[in-house]
Amino acid sequence: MVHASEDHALNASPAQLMLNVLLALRTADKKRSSFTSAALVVIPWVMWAAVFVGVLVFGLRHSEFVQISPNGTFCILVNTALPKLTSVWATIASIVLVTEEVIVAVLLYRNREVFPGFGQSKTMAIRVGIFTAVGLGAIASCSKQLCPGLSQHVTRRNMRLSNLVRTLHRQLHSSANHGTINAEEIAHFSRLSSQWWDEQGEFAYLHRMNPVRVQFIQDKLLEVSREHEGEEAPPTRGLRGLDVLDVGCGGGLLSESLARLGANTLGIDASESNVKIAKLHSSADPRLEHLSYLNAPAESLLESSKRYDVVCSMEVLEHVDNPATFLSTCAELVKPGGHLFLSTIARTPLAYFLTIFLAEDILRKVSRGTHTYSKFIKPTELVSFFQKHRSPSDGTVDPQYLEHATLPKPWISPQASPAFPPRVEAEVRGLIYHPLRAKWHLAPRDAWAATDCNYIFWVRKPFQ
Amino acid sequence: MALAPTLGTSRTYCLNARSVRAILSSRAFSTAHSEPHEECDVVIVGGGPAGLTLASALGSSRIARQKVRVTLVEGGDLSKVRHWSPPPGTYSNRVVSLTNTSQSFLKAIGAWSHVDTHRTVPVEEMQVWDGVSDARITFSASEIGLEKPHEGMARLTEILNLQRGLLRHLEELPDVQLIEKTKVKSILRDAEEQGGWPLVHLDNGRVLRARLLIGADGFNSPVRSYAQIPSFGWSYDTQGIVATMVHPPRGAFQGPNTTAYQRFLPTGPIAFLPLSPTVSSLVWSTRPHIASALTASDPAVLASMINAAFRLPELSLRYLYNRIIEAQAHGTPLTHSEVQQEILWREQSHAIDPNSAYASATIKTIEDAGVPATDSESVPPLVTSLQPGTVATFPLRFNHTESYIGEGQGSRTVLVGDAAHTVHPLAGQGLNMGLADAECLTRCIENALEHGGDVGSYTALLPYAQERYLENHTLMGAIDKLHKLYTTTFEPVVWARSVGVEVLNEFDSVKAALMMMAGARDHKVDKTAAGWNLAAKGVEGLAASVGAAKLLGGGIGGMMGAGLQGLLKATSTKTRPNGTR
Repeated sequence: MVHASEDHALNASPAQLMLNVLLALRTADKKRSSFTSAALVVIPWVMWAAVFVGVLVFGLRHSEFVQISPNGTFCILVNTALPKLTSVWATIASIVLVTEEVIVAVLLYRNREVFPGFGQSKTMAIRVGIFTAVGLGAIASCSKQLCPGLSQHVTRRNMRLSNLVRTLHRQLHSSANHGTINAEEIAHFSRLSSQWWDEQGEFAYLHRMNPVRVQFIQDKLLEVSREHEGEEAPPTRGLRGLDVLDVGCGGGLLSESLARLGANTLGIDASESNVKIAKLHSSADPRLEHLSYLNAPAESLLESSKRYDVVCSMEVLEHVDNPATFLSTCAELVKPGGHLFLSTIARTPLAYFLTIFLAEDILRKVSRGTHTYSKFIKPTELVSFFQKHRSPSDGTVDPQYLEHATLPKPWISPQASPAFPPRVEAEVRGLIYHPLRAKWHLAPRDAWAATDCNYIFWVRKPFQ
Repeated sequence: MALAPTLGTSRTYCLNARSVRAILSSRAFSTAHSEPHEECDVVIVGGGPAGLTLASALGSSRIARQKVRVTLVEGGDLSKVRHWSPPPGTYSNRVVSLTNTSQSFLKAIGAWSHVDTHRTVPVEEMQVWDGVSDARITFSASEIGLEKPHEGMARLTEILNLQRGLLRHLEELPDVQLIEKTKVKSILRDAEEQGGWPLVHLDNGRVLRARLLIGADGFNSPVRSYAQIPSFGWSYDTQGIVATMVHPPRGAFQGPNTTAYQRFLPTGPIAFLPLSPTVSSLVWSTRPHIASALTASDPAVLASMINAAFRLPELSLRYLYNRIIEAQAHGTPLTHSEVQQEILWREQSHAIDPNSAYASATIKTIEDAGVPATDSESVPPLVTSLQPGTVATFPLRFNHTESYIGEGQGSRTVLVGDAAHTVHPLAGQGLNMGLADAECLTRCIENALEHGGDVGSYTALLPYAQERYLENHTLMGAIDKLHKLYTTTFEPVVWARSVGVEVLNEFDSVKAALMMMAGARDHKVDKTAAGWNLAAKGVEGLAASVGAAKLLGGGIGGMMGAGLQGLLKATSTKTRPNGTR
């Protein structure tokens, strides 16, 4: 009996695994016929091979349906019933597989004394684990394909905004002239405003993110000054003396840091209570003389002619209506050659899982309703927005020379792929939270999947 | 500490945990503070080694000097320390072993050049042995692969020498404000609308408003009481005896006086720490009744007992303690010659050769010693006398706070050194832990300042607690367990610890790893790089043992060993950081 299980140890199908376990557990007097055993071992392989061959044959005969997958690693069949069929089959197979795994696991556990040696049970446990994971993954991906509405069901509580999911892309490239302030968002953050400075509470993650954001701003400013003045440039003054605008300053977490580094900082927020808290907090600190706050929407600043060297809007974009308008407003407030820094969350399943499911629903570290999945924005969407965005011409060009005047350059050259904007024009870097160190990290450039959740974005306004 | 309980209209915390709670429950909301105050960014309370080191580290940091104003408050008269000039040949009884990590930190902040290095001694060797079984472990600077073995594994010096050096360094740093001979009268919390920053009221009427209040104020820390940080611990049923011992110099056939000795007796460890060729320092932890009997007797008797404690079997020591205690109880304390007689008698009964290094009943002078006994290196030199006025005792305890950072009502506070942790002195790590705290906190403050952070904020201080708490706790736990392991005479435990120590003594790499953890490395190396180095050393050992096999056939093993060793060394150089500052 022991032999039986060892002989088949190389075969990886869970059915065989179960068979092996059953064989090993059987008492010697009840013997299964060798035919049944062979059939049980062979059938899953035959089924698998049949499907494989079937798909292969179909693909060869109908090459018009074959497409290379976007990442180029495998082929897919499109516009046929086959993917659906495969999904159905795979789902059923996976369910069977997982059930078998559970049975095997239970059998193994209940008879752990009988099985020889720790080594083998460990291998078995690993195999059971791998198959369960594969099975669950398969079920998840198949069911997603079978019922595409499921992902929306998950975000059911955001259904009233689900139209935004569909229209978001369009909105990003339109410049509808609505306000960007969402009254509900303002109410939400006004409710939480008293907690802005509780460093272990609701906004602990933001407090810990602050040094990394400032570091990124400093790094970019340094990089740009090096570019202009060469490596031999005198020690950079960093933010000292620059006019900085923090749009959506909240309790003033970022504004205070920027002001401490010497920037003439103005923090604006649409929530009156946020601004109140920010003012109160900064008044206790004698070293914050270059800091002021204003309770106003960003659009209201366009009326004055004051423009800023640096405009930051951190973790705000995912809370505004009409992100395109908001972005244009922020862009408009930047001096030519100035910098715009944005940080937000990418619209990916990972971000949903981490920022909404885990942080809000499971761990309850962040109040429910803080984030709305549909309002998240992918870094590529931001880049392509600025590939189309041109600063409006200031009207100083004499109309008669208008046809000779060059149109203002887009902020990011349109030829570049949105995933890889030119380094001198824009940059996207992931922000990764390390839960054990309770610390945020700035991911290295182009790190795989780093920008799939929180990320920070920098873009520079062209001089003309 | 006597403290005035109330002051004006502000909420008051008397620095005593019970009354804090009482006041908290009955306090009324009050408005803005009435007294004028000085804005200070960083206020350090306590001018001990940890506080002074922190002040000079912050003062010598470029960014900290630019961006924060540092003030140190000390109740005592620091000018006494600043102008400390002991007569030649005499040494203070409070001695510390500075690990190489601590030294390189002091060098980096520029304070080490102000420490009188003539009054320091490198520890080139350590002999540690079991008082019951005599199982022995030897650490030698030349064997554990240090870059500069003659600099030793650690350096012994008087605390006063270190403090004086730090004060001299601070004189060069005018940005650091030193307020001495001024006690902290009370610490209050500023009004909530003013951010609730700590207000430090001094007994000369000055009020300092602190962005960050650092408690370097020792075991009974007022800052800790203000921050309401609870602590846990226990006092060992043990007293430490310190004294400065005088002994003849080592003979021509022996090494210099750079070996530290420690014998773990069941009553507690006794340590011999060299300070100069003829002077060494004693740290003897023992039961309180023995400690009081020993310190009450004639210093010559104590000197004899010190010699005996490093040499005689544990059984005889117990007899001698009882003899001394009984004689004192009868009002006829033992004289020096009586003790020598007793020791001689015990030596004879244990059949100790009078010419052996383990014999202490007759002190042999250097002239007639001639060639020393073969085992003379395994025990310290014979003590001839104690420097007058240097015998003192202190209680030993274990104490660790539950947190290093104050929260809520006690926010903007942080603890370093003995205010945060008190530990048994057997491993000589207490002060080094305090210096490591200062190093880490300085780094943390610099980081926060670079990114425009508020140095008093929890977020800015969190990395300090994350880095230091676990490290200190591990070390403290290990020291505590070591103490407990060695204060038992239970046969199986003695056997097990002795076997463990003897086996350990044969493994150079393991010993090197132990010393590295104890801070013998002269700079804070990247742990992985150090690990690779150790692994390379291990392979080196392997290659050496393969050497014999190489002669017999092939030599493949040796080649493989060398190749692997090269690979590991290459990895270690690759991962080594470019320097910390």
